[in-house]
Amino acid sequence: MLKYFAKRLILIIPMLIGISILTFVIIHLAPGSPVDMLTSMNQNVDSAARAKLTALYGLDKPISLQYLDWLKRIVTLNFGNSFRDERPVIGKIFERLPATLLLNILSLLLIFIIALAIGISSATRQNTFYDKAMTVFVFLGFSIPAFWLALLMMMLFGVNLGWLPISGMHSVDYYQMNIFERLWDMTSHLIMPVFISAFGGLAYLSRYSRSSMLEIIRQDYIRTARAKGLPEKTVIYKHALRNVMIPVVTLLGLSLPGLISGGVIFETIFAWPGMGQLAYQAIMSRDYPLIMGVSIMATVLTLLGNLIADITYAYIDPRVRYK
Amino acid sequence: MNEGCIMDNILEIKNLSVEYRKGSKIIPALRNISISLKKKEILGIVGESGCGKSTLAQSILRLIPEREGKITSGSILFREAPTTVTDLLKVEYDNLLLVRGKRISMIFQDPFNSLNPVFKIGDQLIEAISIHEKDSDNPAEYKNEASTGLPPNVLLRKTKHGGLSHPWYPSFLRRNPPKLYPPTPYGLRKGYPHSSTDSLPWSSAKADRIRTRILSLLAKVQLQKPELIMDSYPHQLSGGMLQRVMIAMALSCSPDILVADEPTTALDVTIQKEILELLKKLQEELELTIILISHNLSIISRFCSRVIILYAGTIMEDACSEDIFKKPLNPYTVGLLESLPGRNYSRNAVPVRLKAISGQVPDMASLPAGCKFSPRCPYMALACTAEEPELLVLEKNHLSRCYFTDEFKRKLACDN
Amino acid sequence: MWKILFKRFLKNKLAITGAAIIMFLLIIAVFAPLIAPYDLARQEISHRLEAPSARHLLGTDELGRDVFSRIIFGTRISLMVGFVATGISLLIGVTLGLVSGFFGNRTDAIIMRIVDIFLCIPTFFLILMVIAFLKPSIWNVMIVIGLTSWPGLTRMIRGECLSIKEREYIQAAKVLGMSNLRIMFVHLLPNVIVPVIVSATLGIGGAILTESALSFLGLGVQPPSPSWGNILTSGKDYINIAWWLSVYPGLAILITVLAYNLLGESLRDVFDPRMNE
Repeated sequence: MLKYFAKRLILIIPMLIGISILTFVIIHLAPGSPVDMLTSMNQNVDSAARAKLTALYGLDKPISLQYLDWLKRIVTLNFGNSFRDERPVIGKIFERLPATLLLNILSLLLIFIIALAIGISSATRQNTFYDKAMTVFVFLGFSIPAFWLALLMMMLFGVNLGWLPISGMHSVDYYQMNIFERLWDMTSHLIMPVFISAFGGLAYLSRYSRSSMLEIIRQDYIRTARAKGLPEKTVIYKHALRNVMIPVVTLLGLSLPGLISGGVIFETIFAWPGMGQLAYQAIMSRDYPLIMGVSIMATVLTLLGNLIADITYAYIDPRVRYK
Repeated sequence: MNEGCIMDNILEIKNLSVEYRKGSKIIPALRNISISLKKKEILGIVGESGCGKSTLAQSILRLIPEREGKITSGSILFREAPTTVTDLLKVEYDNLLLVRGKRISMIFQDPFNSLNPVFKIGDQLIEAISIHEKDSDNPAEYKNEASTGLPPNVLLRKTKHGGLSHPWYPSFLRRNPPKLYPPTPYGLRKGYPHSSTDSLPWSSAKADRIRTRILSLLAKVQLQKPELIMDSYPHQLSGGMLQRVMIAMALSCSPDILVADEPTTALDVTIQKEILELLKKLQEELELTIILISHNLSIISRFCSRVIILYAGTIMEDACSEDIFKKPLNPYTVGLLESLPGRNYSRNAVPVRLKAISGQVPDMASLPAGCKFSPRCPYMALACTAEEPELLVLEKNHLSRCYFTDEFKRKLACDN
Repeated sequence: MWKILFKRFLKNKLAITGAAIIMFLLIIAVFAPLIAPYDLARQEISHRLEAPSARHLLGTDELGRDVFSRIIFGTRISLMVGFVATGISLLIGVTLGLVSGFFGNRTDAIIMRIVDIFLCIPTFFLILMVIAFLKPSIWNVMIVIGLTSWPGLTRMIRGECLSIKEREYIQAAKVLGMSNLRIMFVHLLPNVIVPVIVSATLGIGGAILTESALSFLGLGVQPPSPSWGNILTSGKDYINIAWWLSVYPGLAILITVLAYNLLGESLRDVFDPRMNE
């Protein structure tokens, strides 16, 4: 088991190198040099200053050396300073990280539980009305633009009915509340973003878990379980469930990038102070170091998430662990 | 129906018919099958692929899912106690669960796929036993350990909690949580209750008892190092070992009847022999009744005391093993025997050429009129295509479904 | 064989629904100038933010432009983005997939590593990164979406190729001396085309969704060009007072993407041998 874990860790390294190369290439795709970007606002910079800046950023060195510099900086998580307010990028990212993690982890859990539930219940009731209704629901889920759903829900629950707050993580008087009110406040701010964030991922995963479940129910070991005299509930929720979880967990890991990207939109719409909103602001203000930093962090998060998914998968499926 | 003392019959299948539904088509799988099974008999059911053998085996325990197949008529009478007979097809599902595994158990064809790959072997064996355990510390009544005649109707009764005899939700949510030890997932640690009929945690005595029983079962099926096996996962064992585990699991609650659905088809030839001999040994030791299903005539001949030949969902011949092989009375049986290589069943010294039955198994969706075997029968006459022959009782305990055309009679005469 | 497939296609109700809707949309897109009542950029400041009425079927936006007309013209953009982006990703994805699956060994390993890296980076971030460095415009959007969705296709095609590669007729073709290129395109491709078609159809839907998300964020199609996404941007800004700006464009996206998804999924059923009836 430890060997498996170690192997996975080692595999990540070439991935990281590849990612660093890719992002490096993208930076240099941009027309003009970074110096131009810095100085584009300021007309008065003369060539001497430009030369100094060029040397400062090491832009006069050959490209391979530039890349190595870049790699070195990334590894130490030094993304430079943000253009807007000269604060270190990494600091800004870490400020926002907990909020994003909260949102995404909750979404993941929600997706996992609901998708499994829908998948299993649809498969055991194949071709009944329930199954068909769920299929319709799932199709809608695929096709709805999530940000539109967010807008609609904001309109409905936030503006018209006034039940749920539509922006931010806390209310204004958060710090005056006691612990219970704080908890409720946080929850009510979380409900809409988490729900919408989970909605898209739910659709695909439900469908997939349904088809996995259909396949598993026809397996021999389910028949053996019934032949042993196990009640149907045990057969489904003990024997079948554990086997369905395997492909579902894998797929969940694969949908992680989608979830994190979705964060950009949802966090912007709901003004949730997370990494996604940071990314959006960075792009709007052409804050390149910040953009790069956030993107790389997002990728690292995805890799971590995949690692965790792999470990969970190994825990559930013993065939992977032992040989 | 067979003669013989009715009291001897532990299982009687009467007029069983099963249909499969595929889309809008209805395909008959079994048509009016009647079989009686005597206690301690080894019955062999032979037939080509698609003739309905597996369907028959699975119907006994109602293992065919509703959406795939329906049992349209018939009854399966199981003698659970000397004076009680129950119709397994009419019994409520909860009571059927009490029969499965405990009175009638089954082993299947593909051992690799028959055990759940994510659970340890030991846990699956524990599950098989603990489902049928009664309350807490009473020692279970295993057959060869001090059991006497039980009062009738005590065996089939509803489980206490409406059928949910195994907690599927984590134990910390249960109303009667284990008091002594923290819950462990599916492990046979002391204190973990496995059945909600136990409201108390298992005592170490019970855990030990079950563990010993499993180890002795595994030893009985000739597996070396049973402790190691208990801790392994199915993918770590070979086919032969897995099939032995399946047998151990099937016998764990000392059933009366064991249904073996092609248990050796997926195994190597050498292992086949071992498994069959093991089954024979166990049958003698435990006084089991076995139904063995196969398409391999040589296995059946070595092993079974009575043989039923199945074709296109009906019984073609039903006789004791000696009669089937020495004096077959049905063209299909004759054809099957003649197609066995090296098997010279006729008295002539001249070896016969390898013969095959011409034609193919009919499509069950569109069966021919009259005798279903007639298109392929070398002794067919016109009368055979009109109406299907009845199952006739010929000699004592020898049934055959045939019109016995003149040609066939001539063939039989010349073979004897 | 195609005749049989076509018949099954006609029998499948979902497939027909999807196809019908798409036809309908195509017609709207092509005949947009004839259908739309108002010119898409015509501003009537005095009538800004009017609710839906007889004059303006779906209301007006904050600059007084007719929402209905804008949505109709938006059809053009969305469909174009869908086709072009998917086209690009098909081109790259299929080629790389065939190459990777056919040649195996090192080529395969290298290409799959690249695919893994791409798949690891959240797609959206990748797009954001690229668009941040280039100017947002409709062409950039199309190209970028195309450039970021090919990895999935490649992986799938490579998988199919690997399983087909060992079959006899491929070996026979090799022995006969067919050039590799010919083998790939003439023999391999027709067999993997089925999941490709399904993926491509679903991909068009995905591309439209991504484009509208980008436009919504202001990074895609820029106003005054109407894209369903950027109408929704104003919807967000005026959420309290102009609900029609939020509802209708989104509905349009929903219907379009739904149509493609229906078509794609039902195509999958049509092509695959039917399992569970």
